[in-house]
Amino acid sequence: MAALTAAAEGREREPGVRAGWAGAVLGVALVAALVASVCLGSSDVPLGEVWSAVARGVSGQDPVPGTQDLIVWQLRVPRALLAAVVGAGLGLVGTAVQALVRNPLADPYLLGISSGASLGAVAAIVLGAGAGGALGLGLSSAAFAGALASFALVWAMARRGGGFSPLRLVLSGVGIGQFLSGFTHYLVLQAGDDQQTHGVLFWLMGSLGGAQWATLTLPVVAVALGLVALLARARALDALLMGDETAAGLGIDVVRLRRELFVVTSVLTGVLVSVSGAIGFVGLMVPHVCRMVVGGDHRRLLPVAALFGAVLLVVVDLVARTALPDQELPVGVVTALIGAPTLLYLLDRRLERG
Amino acid sequence: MRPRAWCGVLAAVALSTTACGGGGGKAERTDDGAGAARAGFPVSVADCMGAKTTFDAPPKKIVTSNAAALELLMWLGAGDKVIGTGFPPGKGTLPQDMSDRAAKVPVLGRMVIPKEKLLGSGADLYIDSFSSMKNMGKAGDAPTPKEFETAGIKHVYLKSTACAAMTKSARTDLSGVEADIEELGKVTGTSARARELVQEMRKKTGAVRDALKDVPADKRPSYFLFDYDASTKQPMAVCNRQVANGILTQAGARNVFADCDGDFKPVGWEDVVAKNPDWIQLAVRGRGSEEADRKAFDDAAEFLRSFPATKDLKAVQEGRFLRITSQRTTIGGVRSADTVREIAHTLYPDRVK
Repeated sequence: MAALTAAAEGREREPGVRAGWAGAVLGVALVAALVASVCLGSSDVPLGEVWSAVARGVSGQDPVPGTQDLIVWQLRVPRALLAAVVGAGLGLVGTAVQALVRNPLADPYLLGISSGASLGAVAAIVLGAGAGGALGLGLSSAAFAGALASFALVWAMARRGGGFSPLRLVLSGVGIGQFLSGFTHYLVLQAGDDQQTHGVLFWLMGSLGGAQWATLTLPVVAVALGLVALLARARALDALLMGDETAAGLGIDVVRLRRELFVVTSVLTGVLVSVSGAIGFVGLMVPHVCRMVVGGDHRRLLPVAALFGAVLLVVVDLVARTALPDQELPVGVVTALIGAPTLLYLLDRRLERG
Repeated sequence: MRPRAWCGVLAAVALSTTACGGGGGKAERTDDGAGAARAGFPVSVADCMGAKTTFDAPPKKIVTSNAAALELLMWLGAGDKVIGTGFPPGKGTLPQDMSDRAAKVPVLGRMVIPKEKLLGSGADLYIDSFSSMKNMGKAGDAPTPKEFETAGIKHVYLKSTACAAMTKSARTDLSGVEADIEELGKVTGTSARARELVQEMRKKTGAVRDALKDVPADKRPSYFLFDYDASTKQPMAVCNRQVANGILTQAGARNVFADCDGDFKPVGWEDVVAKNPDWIQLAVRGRGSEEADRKAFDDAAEFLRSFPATKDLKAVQEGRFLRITSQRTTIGGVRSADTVREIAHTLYPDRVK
């Protein structure tokens, strides 16, 4: 442990200052993005009206009759907040999963949880709300149930042998994910018609369209708890990246740590996917970009990744809502279109410098 | 039956149905004489892109892509030539006298008919309601024109549905559906019956139009077709190329998404709330029984009443809901005119009885 702290001390100063700056800049950017997201949308609401509607909402007054208060307070504000929370969660989970399986290409969906959630949600849509209704399940609950089922399967596979070794985790996750995706695709083909297929595909590509105040609580709590749980293990995550022997040498119970990380990341992924579908790319890209700025120390990396993920997804959702005049784009499409070039550009610059 | 006798029967049938007029009529069974209705042939029909298919004689064995195409043939009296269908009609979706006969038609696919089954069906005509352009992985294994030709199957589209996304202008009436009926009548040698059906439809829509003719455009109520089963998180707008836009316009409603070009587009709830429609159609998919439908309608209404963004809309507050299934508005057919009347009656109870 001492060796590790000494090594960290040496690198401490510069990244510490940079992380402070990064946090401040991202904090300001997040506020700006949220404000823009509440002000702008497919319908024109005058700016003054927007803020008086927000003021009424915050102070708990009754909304003014008409549609503007509904649009601002019941749709835009919860949606912007949901985007921020989901983005933060994806940034966190991506960072943690990359450390857990020691693979820079890992993302929140690598471990098969999202495939289960998608299967649950698509089943709820295609088999009709009737099927979900019979079980007392809405779309989100069906998605979460699917996430739990895939979690159980991956858990059962991954715990055998060496106990959650990275390779076993990845192979179980990918295998079970593919297996469940097969069912999902079969169900998509069972959709009665184009509209339903559209709806299903939209959900699979990620969408924040279902945001409402009542459904915000769960992801907010889950992301907050996830951040706390991961920060408490930040040192252990650093050690894990150096290899199992090193981590064990520092007195870390590697198997137990992996098990805990798997549970935390799975639950968080399940919650995120159940409220917003599988939004790709954020969880893969955000940790890399943040590592380039603040280095690999998880105590800084985790909060910065959460902030950056939040900013990114709020901006992406704003683009998805307003880019085309008469339709909404799936968030996943926009993240890929914005995300991929950004990542490549950063890599390119980094490789030039390296 | 010899051709001449046949013509006599046809004339009699035509007279009798027009004489009793407008009762929504049963499709008369007509049996197929070998030389039937040669008069109208050869017939050429075009697909969405304008490519022509020519018929020298009426087809003998027809396969239909879905229930809507099958129903249309039954109305035309060519139902007995159908040897198979995809997307079979759900329970309770057809008029009583047709559903028993429709149930006897072999189902070649519960969804899109698999390629091999279709090509090996022995049909000489395939009537297709789906667009070849928009195969969202569903019509992914549609046979190529060459394969159809090799199998000896002529391929005809119901253009009002299949070409909706490709048309260049908004659809404000049922002319597309009527053209489909007439074209199919020509191809199957049932032109006379097709004309009657179209006349009946025009009579119904004409009556509605006359009743509403002095209602100015800006006084017509706005109308949102809520596709509950597609997704509640991402409402699906029915845009102006869709058959439904024609049905709504004819019924004196203003589709709130009439200004979007296309057939269906995913939009945000914000768009719906901003339009604040006067009426909302709870367009659930027909579930096949009245009781199941009722429950689905109730669920859709319940969703709108509990979703914070929609519960304060005036249509929701006042319960201005129409309980009409999605199939009846988004799939064109002979009964589209009845849907027009039903919607108009709900919106204008004093004018349209």
